[in-house]
Amino acid sequence: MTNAAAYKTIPELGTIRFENVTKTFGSITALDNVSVEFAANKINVLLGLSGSGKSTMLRHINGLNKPSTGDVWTLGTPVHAAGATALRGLRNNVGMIFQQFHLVESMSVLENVCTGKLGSLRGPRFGLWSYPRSVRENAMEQLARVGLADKAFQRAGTLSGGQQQRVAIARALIQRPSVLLADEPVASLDPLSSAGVIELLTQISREENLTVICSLHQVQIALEFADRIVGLNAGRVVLDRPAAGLTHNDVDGIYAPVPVDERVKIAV
Amino acid sequence: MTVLMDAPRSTNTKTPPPPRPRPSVNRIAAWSALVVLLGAGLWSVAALEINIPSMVRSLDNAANFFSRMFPLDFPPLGELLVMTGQTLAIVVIATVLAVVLSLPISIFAAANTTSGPVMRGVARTIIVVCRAVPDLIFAIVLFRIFGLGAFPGILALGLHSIGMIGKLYADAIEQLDGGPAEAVRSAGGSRLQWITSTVIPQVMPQLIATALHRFDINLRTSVLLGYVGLGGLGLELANALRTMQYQRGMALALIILLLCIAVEMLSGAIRATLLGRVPTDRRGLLGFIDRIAAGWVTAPMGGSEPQRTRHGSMRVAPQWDSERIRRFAGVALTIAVVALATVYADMDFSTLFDDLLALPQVLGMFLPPSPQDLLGILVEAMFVTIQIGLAATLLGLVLAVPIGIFAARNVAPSVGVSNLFRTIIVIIRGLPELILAIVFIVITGLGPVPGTLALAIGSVGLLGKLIADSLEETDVRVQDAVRATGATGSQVFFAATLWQTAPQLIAHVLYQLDVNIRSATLLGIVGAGGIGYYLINASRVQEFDVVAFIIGMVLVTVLVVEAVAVWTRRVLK
Repeated sequence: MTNAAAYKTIPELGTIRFENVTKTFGSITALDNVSVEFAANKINVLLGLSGSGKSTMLRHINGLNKPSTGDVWTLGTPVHAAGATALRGLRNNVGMIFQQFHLVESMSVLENVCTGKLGSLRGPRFGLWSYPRSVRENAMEQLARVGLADKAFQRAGTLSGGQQQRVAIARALIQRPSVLLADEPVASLDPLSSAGVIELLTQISREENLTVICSLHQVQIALEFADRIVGLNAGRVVLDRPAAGLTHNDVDGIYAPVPVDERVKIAV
Repeated sequence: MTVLMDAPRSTNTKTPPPPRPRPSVNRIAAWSALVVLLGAGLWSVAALEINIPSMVRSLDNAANFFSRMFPLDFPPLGELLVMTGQTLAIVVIATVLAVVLSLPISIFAAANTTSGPVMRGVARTIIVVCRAVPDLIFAIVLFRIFGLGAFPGILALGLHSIGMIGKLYADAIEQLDGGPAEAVRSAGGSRLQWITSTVIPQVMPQLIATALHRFDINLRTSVLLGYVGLGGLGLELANALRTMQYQRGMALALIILLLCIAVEMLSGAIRATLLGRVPTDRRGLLGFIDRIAAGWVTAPMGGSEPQRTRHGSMRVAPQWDSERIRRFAGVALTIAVVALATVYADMDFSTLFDDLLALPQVLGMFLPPSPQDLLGILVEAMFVTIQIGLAATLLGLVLAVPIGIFAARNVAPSVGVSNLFRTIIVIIRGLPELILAIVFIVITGLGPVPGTLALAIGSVGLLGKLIADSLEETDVRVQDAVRATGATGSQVFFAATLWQTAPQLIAHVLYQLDVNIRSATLLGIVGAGGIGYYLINASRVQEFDVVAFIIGMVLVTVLVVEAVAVWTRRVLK
């Protein structure tokens, strides 16, 4: 079921490729010999239980984690071998949003968006005034795009969860990325805000022709949102198919409680 | 479903009950250490002859002293303002200096922002050494290097402050949520960028609060450094007492006392607002600014269009609403105060270069450290200093427990009572230990007793506050559960409240012991017993090898006490 084909060529520029990637944290194996390739300009959703390796996989794409063995290629950069400078250059092209939004709550919304631009600015910044006017205008425009320009000068902590995630999306957009990573973007939100955030993500991804890799818990949202679904279980790819025509039953297999030795204990 | 297989439900079987988990060797050792410390404290109180009859005997002295104290002789107002200004200027600059130096050090010292284990070790060492070397010792050495003046005094206060500020900053940074930093990293931000853009904004309120707290402490210490020549109120006080002008001395002491209490209350109020413990009330001046600002601030249009100014350009800075006005005023005021203080502190850098050139020669005077022929006396004096620290902590604890209990809102019989005791604690915290020591010396005569009493009362300020705070943070549900069984108020207190705070209480007491042993060193210089007396004398007669030897003894003692305290706290947590 996995793309076990042996890649030995350098992948096309726009793609993201995992080649026999294994990642261990101490005695825990987070990714177990994963080989998968994501084509450009498509929305890919990772499904799986908590701890199945979804976050770890996302964090390998921009080098927040490095593989223990195997190769990761993102947009032509060999992440597994990249040094600090190369990684900064790559991350400049890869936006990321998180389950907990990761905004500085005491800072204004506009300044939070500006921090997305740090990768292409030299030197440290402290305070809104320290960003060039062009960056601040750009940030204001991105906020207008996510519908929050009127909140630009409020503290980020005063916004609702859904609004904070929109700010985080604006922070990723200001980078003008070609890849957007989303780590459980709606897991902390109520259903109504979730729908709004997913709708915004879909719309923006189509407009900007982004390559999206998004981990999700909700199967229904995944089926509506994705071009392609990759299922992970215990660090292995157990499903990899186009979303069109996929049913709930097809997807349920991903959630099988796998490790047999542990299942014995549960059954007793 | 999980089924518990190995837990028999019936008690009829002959299976013995499972044995209690055996306490670890470390826990046994830590509890033994506490028992030994308690014993040592009791023995110190006895050995220093701190008891009721000897205090009663001193009452005559007290009456005598108070009669000589009045009428208080205040210096002319102009002179007084100049001295006060000088003291405040020195303390402001010293605190600012400490903050500026502590920030980078704490960034290297905190696990989540450090650049590597080596730099982290270096930064931690700097913090520990700055904390262990009392300001007085820094002052003696620096005055020797740079000559008398404001600059070496400021440097001494600033360097010792790094020990506390650096540690608290590093702790605050380590407790941060790392998410925003990771977000900036994932956007390609460098280490320096994510530190300035996420870490510092997040800890800013604690940074300012800690600086204000240290400002209070430095104000009290600067008075003490007057004894070794640091200008301002402390120097005048020292001169007055040295020349037996008690009426002038006590007038100055009263002014210092009021100044300390006023600053303590002011900084407490600012800290409470900063850390969001007080609901921002919109009355008074702040409310006035709000109402004025509300008049010209225009509400933004919808969220889907960029905000624009009246002239049509895109708005990229906040409007001058009340929050921006307040922030601007705060920053402007701080800059003005620091600038004014820099001018007023009267620092003289004209000889700085020559002084630095002479540095190796001056440091050579301290080497090699030697007790000369005083070894026995010095060891005994060091011992007395430790006794003072132990006795003062024990006496302070005995006084602080009831005060802390009555100050805790959830334990005190009424809100009025807790407010009263909170106020008492603030006033005690404002009292400079030096002033207390001087008063007690006059009453009981020279020796370790006045030093112990002064430190004991000083301890009540901090311990009482910490006890009250940790009582207020206890889990009220446990108390409710005990109360629901029909327990009385005192039963609830002993069964639920006190037990929950025991680990914190032990930590606070050990911290206080650590502080008191260092303070006991200092108070010796006014004749309150212990090693400080020999330190100041050796410095006066320029026997710098003896000074160095005493510094070494004090450092070893302080580091050992601190190591024991840290270890015990960690084991008993």
